[in-house]
Amino acid sequence: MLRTEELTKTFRSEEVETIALSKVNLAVEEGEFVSVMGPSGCGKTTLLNILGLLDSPTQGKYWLNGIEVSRLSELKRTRIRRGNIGFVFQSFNLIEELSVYHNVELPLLYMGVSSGERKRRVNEVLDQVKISHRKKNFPRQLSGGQQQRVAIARAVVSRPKLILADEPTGNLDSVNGEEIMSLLTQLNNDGTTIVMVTHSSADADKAHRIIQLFDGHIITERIKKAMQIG
Amino acid sequence: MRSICIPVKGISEGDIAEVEVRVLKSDLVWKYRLESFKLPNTGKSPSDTIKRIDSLRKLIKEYDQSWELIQILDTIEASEYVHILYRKKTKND
Repeated sequence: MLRTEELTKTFRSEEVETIALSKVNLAVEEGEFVSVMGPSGCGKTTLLNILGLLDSPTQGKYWLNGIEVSRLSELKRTRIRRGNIGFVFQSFNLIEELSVYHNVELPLLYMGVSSGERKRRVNEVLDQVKISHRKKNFPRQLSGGQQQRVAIARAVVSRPKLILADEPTGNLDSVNGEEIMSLLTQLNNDGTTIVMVTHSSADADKAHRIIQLFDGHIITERIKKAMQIG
Repeated sequence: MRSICIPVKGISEGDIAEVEVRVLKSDLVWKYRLESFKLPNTGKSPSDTIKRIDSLRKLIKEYDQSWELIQILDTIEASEYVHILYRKKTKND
């Protein structure tokens, strides 16, 4: 599904150069669930942003579905991202002015999906994440757990093969956190590849593989459970 | 309930803390160990970072294999120590 080779990202200010990622070699198979852990500032989110084509590496290569994407223009990156990658953020990142329904519909509008098909798919994913009863509400009228369920619905409505989740339970209590992890695990069981950044070892344990980052380097990789094929 | 937070008073850098979690009326027992390791230096240059990374990789690789690494924890700015949480492996691991 994705592979990086010597992926490096540096941030430069006038006086200081900070190495956020250093020569990261990573491969994630289709259908795999990978957790990325490490202390604050170790490069987890930078890695996720590059994998999600929201940022580009300073050096190194990145193949997504067999295409080398590290040097593509912003426009080409956006085209590849659309419909292929779903994002789930710690702070939900829902649009406050749009209802639940319209937040989830938005990616399909960008993709030019027809009105009837949009309606069918939005209702389907809202049912899937059990939030249909709140589809006319606005994000501020929902609890944190409900908002994250909407964010997951928005991430999956375009049927991406890859979901990138950045601390998806970071702003949730334990009960809602469990529900979100169950949803992500179910999506993975249905075939979606997931790369998740987390500080929670309990959440990380849900993955097939746990990667530990430190100072922008991969320190260890630990296989938790075998991936089911087919 | 997914986690239990245990405040540990008086632990300083270089100390080791071990915690045993037992679920009553069942056979579930987990043993956790929080250990501090002194890294070679805290410099910011690329060669300092490489030394620190190599050292960390080595100590994790050579650590008692009956324990599994759970998490490398947040470090204090410019600290010489890195804190690592391990869990004792069970028959299922």
